[in-house]
Amino acid sequence: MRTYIAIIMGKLTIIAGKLLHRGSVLPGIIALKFDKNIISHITLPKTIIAVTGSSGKTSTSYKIADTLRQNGYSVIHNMAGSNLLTGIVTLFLNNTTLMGKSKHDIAVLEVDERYTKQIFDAIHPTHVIVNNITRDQPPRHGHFNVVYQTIASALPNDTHLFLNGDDPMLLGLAKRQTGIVTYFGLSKNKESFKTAFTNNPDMIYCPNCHAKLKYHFVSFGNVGDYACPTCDFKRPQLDYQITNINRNGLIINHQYQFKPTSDILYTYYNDIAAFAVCRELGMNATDIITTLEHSALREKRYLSFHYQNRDGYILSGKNENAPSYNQSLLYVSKKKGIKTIIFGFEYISLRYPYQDISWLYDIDFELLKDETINQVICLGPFAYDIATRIQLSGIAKKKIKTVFKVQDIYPILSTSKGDIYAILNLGTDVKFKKQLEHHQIDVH
Amino acid sequence: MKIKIAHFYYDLLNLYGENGNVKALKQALEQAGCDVTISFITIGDTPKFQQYDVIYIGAGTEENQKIALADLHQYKQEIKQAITNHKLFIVTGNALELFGAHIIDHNQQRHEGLNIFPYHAEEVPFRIVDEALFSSTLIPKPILGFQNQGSVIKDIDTPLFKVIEGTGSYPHSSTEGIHKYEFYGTYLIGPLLVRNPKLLEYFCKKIIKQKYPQIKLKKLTFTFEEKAYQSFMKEHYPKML
Repeated sequence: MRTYIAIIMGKLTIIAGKLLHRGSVLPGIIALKFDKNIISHITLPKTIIAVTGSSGKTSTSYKIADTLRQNGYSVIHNMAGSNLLTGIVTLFLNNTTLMGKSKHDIAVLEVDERYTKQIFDAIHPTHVIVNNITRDQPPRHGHFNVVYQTIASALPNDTHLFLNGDDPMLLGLAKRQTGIVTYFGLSKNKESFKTAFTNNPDMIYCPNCHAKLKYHFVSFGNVGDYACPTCDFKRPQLDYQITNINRNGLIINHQYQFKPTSDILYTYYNDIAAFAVCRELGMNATDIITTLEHSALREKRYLSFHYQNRDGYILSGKNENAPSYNQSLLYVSKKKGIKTIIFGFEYISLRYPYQDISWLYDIDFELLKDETINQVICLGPFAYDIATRIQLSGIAKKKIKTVFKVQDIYPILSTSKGDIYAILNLGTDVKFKKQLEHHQIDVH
Repeated sequence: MKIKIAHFYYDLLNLYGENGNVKALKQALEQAGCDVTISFITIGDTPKFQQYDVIYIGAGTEENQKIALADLHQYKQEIKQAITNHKLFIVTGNALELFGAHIIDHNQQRHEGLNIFPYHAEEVPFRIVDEALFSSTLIPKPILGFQNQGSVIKDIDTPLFKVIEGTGSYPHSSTEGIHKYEFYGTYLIGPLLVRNPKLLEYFCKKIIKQKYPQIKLKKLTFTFEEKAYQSFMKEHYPKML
């Protein structure tokens, strides 16, 4: 009876929410108030696919859900990034009959990495995908090992586990598994590096014998083809991999040509993860590729604009997540010609008020230290903190400018030289775009 | 003037921007006219303690901290001698636990420390994540910092800092860190020296004075660092200015 009331109350909240035009996780909150075990009383879809890890959860889960749906499966998916228990309960309530029966075959769930224990215990996923565990939001997570321990303790032994085999941090997750473990990854390609070059690699010591891992190549950070020189810890045999990157796109498993909708290397991991999952669910490879190639999700490395005969790029980074910034910096460092760099954000985090700037030192600004840099403009309220970091990378002080308000950037920009690379985040990106448009500069 | 910095476990205890402290030290010493080299030391290397003018160690995951501790034990006597002979150590984050008597981990397992100081650390089922505003006897200005740790120390009798605002060595403590001989240890993470240019200058002078006592030092300038410090204070602790 309690469950029945919880379902009804939740559903009523959904109806009320629709009337008020508020799609939120409130139904889940209310239903959980009436019955905190509500999920165990709902008949869930037979297949539950959970995607978790530090980055790429939204893209990967979207790609899996979209591919399945376009090919005739009946799928529910917590699209809006509502990835805590309340969001997932809301999703199930939304798609369940009054008697608590599921209306769909498959649920594809993006699951917040720190809530995996609570959520996996409740929904017992049949498939779990972990794409990466990296440095991310230290005040929230503590550090990457805390995230690893949380996911490790949450995994049901019998789930079908999909791991990025290139990330040495994830390998331990397979240890206690009795279910199938499928590995995906990237082969050596034209964008690979010889060694882990980053300032602060997350894990480069063997977790078993503590010897320093050796790399055959690195895709980024500590992700690549690794092996312990003293024990048998090494990158596993990959079941699904991008075996080549060429002018026409990617090659999957030496066989399938695939044109991705994104041009950022780390998003290829999302593609290959989605491919692996759909294939293991029995879909035909060509159907998966066709759907992925027509995905509405198009992640562009940059937006472009023109300013006084100079090419301009707006690249993104995720605050408190150095790997994402490093991807943008790497791209900039490979470009030829004189460069003006703009770097800035309005807030450190939208989640909490902490003013921790330690993550700025995980970003490899040292990549920029060469004669092509004309100016680095540090933009926004953290301009001095950014300027300090940039100066410590070895870039000459006279090349570093600080600007606090986006509207004041114009005079500085006009005295700088070369193509403009604006690496912006959390509000500054939007303000900068508006400022350009205000000056009739088209951003596309 | 030649100065040698040793950055221990740069690739293992590197959790919260510790490299910023070392970079800041190097640039500041160069500004003071020193020729600076950094020795990056990790597992498998052969450190030469007599050669270093300052030794830096930073924060790591609880797991990496134990790996570093196991490796560090082979140098126990040399380190003890260096510290009691007033060699300058700057130790941030949970690395200060390595120099105590022992660490009790979250499984209640005991890990022997270098036992240079009598305190012990305990891993706790929560993390201290907090802004810090501390005072010290080293410089008149308050120290800005950030704590992010899964362990506490409750038995230090020669603390480095007094808590003005924030948490300290354990919840509701009034002090933080350890200062004995020329050993300076604090739970404050990452770019501590970057955020506190006066503290950076203090250590620079100390390093140079120890080796070249006759040299008269010029005043150092830290434009961006000072402005970052001032604007943070103005925004968050206006009454302290």
